[in-house]
Amino acid sequence: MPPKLAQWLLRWTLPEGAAGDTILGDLLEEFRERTIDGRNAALWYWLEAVSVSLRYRGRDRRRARRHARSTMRFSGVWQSILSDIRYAGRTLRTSPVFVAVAVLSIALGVGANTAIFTLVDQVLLRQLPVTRPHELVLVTVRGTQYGSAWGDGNELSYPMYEDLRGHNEVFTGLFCRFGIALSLNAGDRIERVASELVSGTYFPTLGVTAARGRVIEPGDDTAASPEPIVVLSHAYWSSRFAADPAVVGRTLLVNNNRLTVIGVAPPAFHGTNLGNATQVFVPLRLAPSVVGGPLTTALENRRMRWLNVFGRLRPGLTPTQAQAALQPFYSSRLAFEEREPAFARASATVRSKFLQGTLAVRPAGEGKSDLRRQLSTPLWALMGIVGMVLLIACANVASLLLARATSRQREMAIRLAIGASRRRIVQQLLIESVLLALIGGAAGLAFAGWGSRLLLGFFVSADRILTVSTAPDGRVLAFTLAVSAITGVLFGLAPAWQSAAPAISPTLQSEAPSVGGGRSRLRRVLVVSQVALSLVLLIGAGLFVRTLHNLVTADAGFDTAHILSFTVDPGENGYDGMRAKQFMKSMVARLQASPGAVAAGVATQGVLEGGSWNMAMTIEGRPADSGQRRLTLNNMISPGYFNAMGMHLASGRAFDDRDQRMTTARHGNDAFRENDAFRVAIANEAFVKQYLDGEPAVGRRVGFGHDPGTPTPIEIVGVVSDAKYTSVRDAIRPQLFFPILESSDARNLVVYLRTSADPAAMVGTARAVIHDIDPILPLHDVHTLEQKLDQSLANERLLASLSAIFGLLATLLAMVGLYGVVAYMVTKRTREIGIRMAIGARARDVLWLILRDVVWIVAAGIALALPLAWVSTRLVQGQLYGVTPIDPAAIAAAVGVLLIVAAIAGLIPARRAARMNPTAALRHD
Amino acid sequence: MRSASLGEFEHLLLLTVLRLGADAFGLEIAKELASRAGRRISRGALYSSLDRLEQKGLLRWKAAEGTPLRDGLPRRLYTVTASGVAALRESRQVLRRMWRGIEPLLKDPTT
Repeated sequence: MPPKLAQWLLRWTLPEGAAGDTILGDLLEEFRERTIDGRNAALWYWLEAVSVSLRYRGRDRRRARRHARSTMRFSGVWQSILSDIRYAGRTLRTSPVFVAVAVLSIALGVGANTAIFTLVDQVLLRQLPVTRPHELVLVTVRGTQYGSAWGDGNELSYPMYEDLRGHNEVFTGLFCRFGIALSLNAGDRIERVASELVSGTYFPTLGVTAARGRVIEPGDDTAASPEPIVVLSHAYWSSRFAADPAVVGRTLLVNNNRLTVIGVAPPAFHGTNLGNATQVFVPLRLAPSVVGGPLTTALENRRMRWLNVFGRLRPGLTPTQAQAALQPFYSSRLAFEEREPAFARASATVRSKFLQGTLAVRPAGEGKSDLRRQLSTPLWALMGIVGMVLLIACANVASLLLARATSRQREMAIRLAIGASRRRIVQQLLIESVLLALIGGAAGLAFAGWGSRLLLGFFVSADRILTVSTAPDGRVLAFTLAVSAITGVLFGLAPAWQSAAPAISPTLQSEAPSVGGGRSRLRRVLVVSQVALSLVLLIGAGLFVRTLHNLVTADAGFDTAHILSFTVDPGENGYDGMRAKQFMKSMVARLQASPGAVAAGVATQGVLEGGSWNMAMTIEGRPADSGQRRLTLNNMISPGYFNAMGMHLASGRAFDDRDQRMTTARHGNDAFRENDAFRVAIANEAFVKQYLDGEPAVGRRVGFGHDPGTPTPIEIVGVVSDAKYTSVRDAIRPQLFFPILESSDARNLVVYLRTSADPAAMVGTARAVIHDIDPILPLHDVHTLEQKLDQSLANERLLASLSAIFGLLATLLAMVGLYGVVAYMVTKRTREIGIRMAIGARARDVLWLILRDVVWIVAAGIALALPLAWVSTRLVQGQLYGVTPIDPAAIAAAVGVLLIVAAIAGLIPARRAARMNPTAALRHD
Repeated sequence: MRSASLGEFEHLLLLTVLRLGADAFGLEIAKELASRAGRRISRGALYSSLDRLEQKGLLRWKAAEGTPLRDGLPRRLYTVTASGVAALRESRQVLRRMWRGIEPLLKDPTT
């Protein structure tokens, strides 16, 4: 057979039907004759095929015609678009005021959208900078835990992680990580660094390789004794060590352990937790020595859940399939755990609940992000808000275009009369509006850059290391371009369609009424929707502002005004339990004695920091109903803590020197046993109310755990007033306080210093006191409690301020629209007003004549807004505090603001109408 | 109606088709041209010249059944039209008039 490609070439170029087939046949026949003769037929065929193709190329008439038609059509459209763009440029240049107002409206709308989108994109949509992030999943567990849990309670224990890794059919890789702050001493000073303890599979599974040196490898998990190593993030290496290559190989003191820097991670990689950029990576195997405390036995302890486990799915598998495949194995491991000695005292209910635990696998290409979870609703709410602002801006520009269309009616009529098609005119007008929108969009980008920097300021704080940049990138530019183009079509379409249909002959004869009825109706519809949208935004803003106000004024249960707080960790300088407790005692005593101090106290869990220590408790003589658990929020405190916080005792006593165990106790590794060391506790009033039905608490005994027969060795010695714990938003829950000095260790001490004057002025004193006791121990997290409260409300503040700003902006834009329509009506009805005045109408009547319209528009807007608000505020219910989504006060305030602004917008043109000179008005046409 | 004047190659093609008569298939035309006139031309040139003569109305073809050697693809069977014959005749007359009297100069007179 002849060469395939040559045949294909011929079929492609030759005409269809017999004309082409005969030639193909001739060549085939000759090719075969030549083959039989033993001559080189293939080459000959190729040459002939080329010669024939060259002659016939483009000679197929049908094909040629088709081609010609399509090029002509394309170039025709292109030509017309180009000339339309030129024409649009010329017409826009003749009305600079119109252009300025329109561009400013669009720029505000598009700019706000771009600014919010920059954050939405980076905080909510961006994937981790790793290989094929879409394959990454997060493996979590659901169900009752028996033991302790760090984090959300959905984490896994290390032995369980190893089980999954050993029995892995669905992942190409599996790794685990634990985020923690470690103290790092590079020889000059101690500082806290955001760290990740990572398994050896962490970097290989993510596909992240070292920028310098090497990263932590699977071998680091299996080595007989783990090597003391650490990997730095590129950002930390650059900022702390000035990107010095010699740092690789150096030894750093991490939590007082000598670790060797073996490498630097690549520049874009900040770990797996967005919003808390990792600065150093430490092998998980080092957790017992580097972190110690509860983590000392964590690598073997099945009762401690603390690890985030990520997997990379085998190609083609969905998370749901993986989950289904893993569940049987997971259940079998739970059954194995339940037979272990640790469950000896567990009740049947607890056991059966524990065995029902499930595994969940969900996509995690974006990593683990607390920030994402926190900001998801606020950011989407803001995106919705700015979307509405843009719609209002669009309506304004559409309204302007409609007004402009009236003055261009003649132009359109002439164009139609001389043969332009309606489609052609719509095209031309649309190009004009898209051009306008693009100019607005470009101006909006400038706003956005400024706006998103401002935005970031709202939720970046000193202790939150954020990897969000405000520089517009390709995605943001594409977003802005798309939004602008859609905006242009959106506000241009209706006006264009309307202007393209004037009645030709009356218009040309100048006899047509200067306004088309449909056009002014459309403008009213636009204004009504503007009013409605802006009212929805105002109501939303009202709710967010009230939420913030409620939170700020909420009674936290302690005196926020005069308290300085900071954190000290004696463990950072190698103190063991006894020395740490000694350190704490002398620190509290010296702080209390320093001038300006009223009281000082220490807790191991800071308040309003989001963290908590909660346990199920057994109360003597008050067995819980089956399946119910007596959960309490706990804290360990020093004597003086209640005084420092401004909490007062309701009955019994506070902790004092009796409540301490200053002998060298065995270093408790097991969380359960360590808790058993406490002899006394103090309950809050909520505990008494909820768990004791108000009966006297002092003298009653409690114990940790909820298994039947749990001993209750701890005596309640006092009851203290209620106070918030994790955040101001929380309801007051039952709490128990235990003395730090009775526990085995004193780590991570959150110090509260109550002052007589400005607490911020006491920072120096506090530093001096600590420095006196230990010159290298650093103070972390130095804040006044007021600042802490402020910080904990950053998201609420963001929502409240931005929704208020955008709500007012929207209202302003809507009122410009309202003013435009009313002013236009006044002009239109000038002659009518003149006649009315001539036959005796007073100024007041004329005023009412115009304002009546305004009232109708506003009333229609309000009627439209209320159901809309009812639906949309429900979406943000979770963000509210102390107000319902249909808060009468917020609605009333919003309507009030709207009415005032609408009255101003309506009164200006109405008064002009009322002051008109009837004679002049009558002459008006 | 004045017929278009023939080019030399067109002249040869028309003569070949006449000469082959009922065997004037595309492939035979090419072979006849090569053997009798010593003209080897590419198939591209051949078909485009034949198409041009067809457009001028001097030739026409109809599809004839194909043979197994060409997978049954049809063949073109050419015939010279009346205008084609007329054009040949006129061409011959023109040539004759032009040759008259100069034959002795070439010593090798064409007959």
